Amino acid sequence: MTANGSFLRRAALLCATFFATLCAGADDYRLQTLAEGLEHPWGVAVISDREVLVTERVGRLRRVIDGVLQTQPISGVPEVHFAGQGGLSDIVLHPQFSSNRLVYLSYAAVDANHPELNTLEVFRARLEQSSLVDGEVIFRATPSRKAPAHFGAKLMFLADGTLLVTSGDGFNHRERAQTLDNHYGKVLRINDDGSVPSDNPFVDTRGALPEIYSYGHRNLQGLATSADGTIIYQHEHGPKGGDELNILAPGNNYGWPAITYGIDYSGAVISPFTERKGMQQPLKYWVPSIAPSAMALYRGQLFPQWTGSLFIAALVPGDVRRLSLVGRAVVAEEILFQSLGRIRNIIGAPDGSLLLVTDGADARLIRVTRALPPRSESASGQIISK
Amino acid sequence: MLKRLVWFGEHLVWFGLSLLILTSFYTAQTSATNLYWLASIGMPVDSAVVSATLFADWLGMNIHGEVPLSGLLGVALLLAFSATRVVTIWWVVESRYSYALAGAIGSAVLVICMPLALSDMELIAGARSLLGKFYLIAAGGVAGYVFGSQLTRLSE
Repeated sequence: MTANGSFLRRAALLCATFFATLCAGADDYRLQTLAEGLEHPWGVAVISDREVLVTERVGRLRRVIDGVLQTQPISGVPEVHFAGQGGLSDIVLHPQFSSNRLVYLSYAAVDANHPELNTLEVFRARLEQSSLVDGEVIFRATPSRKAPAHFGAKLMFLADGTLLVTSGDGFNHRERAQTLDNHYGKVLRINDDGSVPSDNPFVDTRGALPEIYSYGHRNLQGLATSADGTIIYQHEHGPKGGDELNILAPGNNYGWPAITYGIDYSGAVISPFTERKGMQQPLKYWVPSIAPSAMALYRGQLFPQWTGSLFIAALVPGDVRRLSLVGRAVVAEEILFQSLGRIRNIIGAPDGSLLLVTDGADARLIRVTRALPPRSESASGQIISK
Repeated sequence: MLKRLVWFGEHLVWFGLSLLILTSFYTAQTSATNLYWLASIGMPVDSAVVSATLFADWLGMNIHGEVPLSGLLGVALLLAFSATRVVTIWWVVESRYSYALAGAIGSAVLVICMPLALSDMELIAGARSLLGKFYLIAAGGVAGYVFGSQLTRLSE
């Protein structure tokens, strides 16, 4: 009896210690600047623990090796339309990058037939030394638009090897997010060579563009999948309020601009409706806006208490939101890294650290890693809702 | 002195009225543009939704917008009417017409210049179409006509 009591007491103590360690770990990180002087960085791709690629919206692809930003950009990047919100945007590595060295870039490009217009393109090339070779445009969004805004431009490979491309509503063309004859306000799914997968939801729909995977979106800049690849998370900028986190499914209509929790920048009502049969509700929405710019699902071992959390970079006011998920529900939101200003991107590195890039003309690449004892640059998270 | 104050007050009131008319045209057209599209895709747009949206837009565009609409239009009309006052020293034409033209030009400058200043982004949904632009320019004309008509009455 005494032995049993002692065992239970020790087990309880062990559990309590373990739980306390997990809780204490929430602010047990430090921020380490890997590179400075990046000009409007946007996309980040991790090649290895030693090597990171960063796109700059001005049209450069930069390389950071062992924490040193290489002065010479990678050559062979296509010409981009650097204006408004446009320019070189995302970068993603092919799932078999180690053998085929293929990288994919998204960017705003001038329409060759109508130089006053621009559009979203996806480019594929092989990375050899410091050059992109055998490059080809594998996707071009139609129709082109005049305003260099709301491109979306996020890229992500799914477990089946197909590539998701987000295409924003072009700002002035929001109503067209509800029709399937164009690429405005859509998530698109293509094969790694740009061809259309035969199992896309609208391949047999008359008048619909076959690349469309889901529609009714605004300006989508975040994609992530659950650890087992069965859930696709997506976030998008709302107008004034109404930023959304959604779970994507093929063929779904996410409602923009017929239903929304935001209002127009002019203060006008875009739609008085927030729900409608046949249109998906967001998993979570933000009013006022946080301007979500990127998302990563944490799968690392460095911060066990973060495993399975969604990290969303926010431009306004400038922080990262850690969302705790239980099943398909968001149960808590924690605000992290508030001292860095606008954060443009966030990505998980193979060593379990997180990489952040700040926004702007003189931006930084920052690694979030375990705090060194004694803690020198650690900061605390703040839980704002449960 | 009192006479001048009364003169100024009367002009201010009529300027305010023309601004109110123009603001209402702008907000109503934005409501109509959005609601017309919503109805066209089968959303349940009934009279209650219409009246609530008209009211919300009038309030929202003047209070919740990035820039208050009435402030923008007020500056546009003030500049246009001031220029007209100078021009009509030499160019004798009935006030209602000269100010109608001024109002239309003021509204046109706003409708055309705003996207130029914002990387071709149209902040006012109702101004995205050519027809919408014409409507808003005509609304400026109506506001100017109202102001000009009262100037004629005041001078008589």
